[in-house]
Amino acid sequence: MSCIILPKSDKSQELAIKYNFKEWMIARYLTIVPETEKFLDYIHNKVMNQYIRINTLKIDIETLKQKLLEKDFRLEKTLLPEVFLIKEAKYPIGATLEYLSGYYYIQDLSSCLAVESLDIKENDMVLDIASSPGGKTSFIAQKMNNKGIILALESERKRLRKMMFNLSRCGVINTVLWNMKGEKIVNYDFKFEKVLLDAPCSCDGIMQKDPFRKNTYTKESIKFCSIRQSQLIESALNVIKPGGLLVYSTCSIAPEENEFIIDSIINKFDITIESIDYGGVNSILKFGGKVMDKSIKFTKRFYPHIHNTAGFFIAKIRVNNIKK
Amino acid sequence: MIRELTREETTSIRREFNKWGIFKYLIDKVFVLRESEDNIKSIFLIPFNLKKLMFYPCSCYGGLYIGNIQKKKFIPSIPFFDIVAKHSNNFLYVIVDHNSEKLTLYGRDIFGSSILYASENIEENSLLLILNKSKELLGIGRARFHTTKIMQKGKVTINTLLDIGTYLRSENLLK
Repeated sequence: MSCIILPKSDKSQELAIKYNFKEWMIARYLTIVPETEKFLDYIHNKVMNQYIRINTLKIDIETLKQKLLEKDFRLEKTLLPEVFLIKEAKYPIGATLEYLSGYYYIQDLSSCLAVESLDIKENDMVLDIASSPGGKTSFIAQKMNNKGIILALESERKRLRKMMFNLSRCGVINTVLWNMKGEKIVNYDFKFEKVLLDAPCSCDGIMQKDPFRKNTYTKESIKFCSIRQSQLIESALNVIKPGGLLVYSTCSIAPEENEFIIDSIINKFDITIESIDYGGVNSILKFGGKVMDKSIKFTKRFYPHIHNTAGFFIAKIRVNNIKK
Repeated sequence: MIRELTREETTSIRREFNKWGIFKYLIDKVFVLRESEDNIKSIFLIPFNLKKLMFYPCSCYGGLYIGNIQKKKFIPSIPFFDIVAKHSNNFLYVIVDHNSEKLTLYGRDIFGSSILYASENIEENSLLLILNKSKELLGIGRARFHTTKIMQKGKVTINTLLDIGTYLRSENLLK
């Protein structure tokens, strides 16, 4: 799917200069992102919020909260009971005894919301595609109370070792890690109740964390990612049991990687797009002359300047039956 | 390559679980062995229902990494000792003060003056758990002295062999 280029304007030129962005990116953001200037200002000037997710496989929420308060951490509640925003920390949060003990995982709220949307049950068989570094995998294991089965796929072999250490640190025991591209799962005779596809993407939703992405972000990267995402989502849908659930997410703002992908499967598969119950704003139904299926409105977008998270997209897809 | 353990390998690991008082933790679980290209044999503890998935050619890891086998001997990992600290009543340990807690996380040895409590039966060369005041695992150490002399001032009395920060500092231990 090619990257849609929108007409430039005086405004896009002004903002591109002011915030040091490529102008074609700004022209797109002016159409996609609500309160665009506030968004640009936010990611340009503010440090990205840090969240921790308490790992209840190892410790209960109140005990860890108390331990961190004693270390002068200031925590703020979020939409999820196990996830907290770090308002103040006197030590680097990746070097505390509690972190090394696997009591918490540093993870953006938006990532946790993707897992939350999977409606995990203890004995589910879950597929986690493109799973490294394992944050979402360990949250799924936590939701399953270390029961059931998680099959986690990662195509980059060198990332698997780090993921294995992460999972062992968090006390995860119900997960098998395969070194495999997500698309190839259709070659195996497995069916899953739940599938999480946090798809590889162009990542402009986390530019605040990595400003260098402003320069590396290209039209080609959007096209490349959207082709891969289409292949991955179709593979994922083919290995879900009837009645099962797929959660598709990206940390991209580009509609070509989000709404367009969901729109492309609506007529190919017998599926229902379900609403997400945890915050976010409704996704866009029109972009660059393309009008999307009405049910796309049930998918959600998250923005740094509105939701204090990464820029993120989540779609919850119920599989009614196999291919039409 | 992932494979099942030989009887000899299984016995060596089960013996270690028994020695540390966590044999009961093995109920409903099984060991699998991963052999890397450079012949490092890593052991994983998995629930029975994961076993089938572990033996596909693309399978790399699974379950809990509990240690390595070197020259037919089982060398437990930090997650192994984490199980010991949480599920056993039968192990040697010392409790260290707050300052030593921080230093242990960077792999430093333990001075006698920073030990607040020591098990009664520690001998020279005993392997023991290093815990903080809340009895949380900080690392594994080898005693240089008997219990009666382990709290002596001015001397390192325990060598830290492994701490809970080891794997994050050095990711090359397992290939």
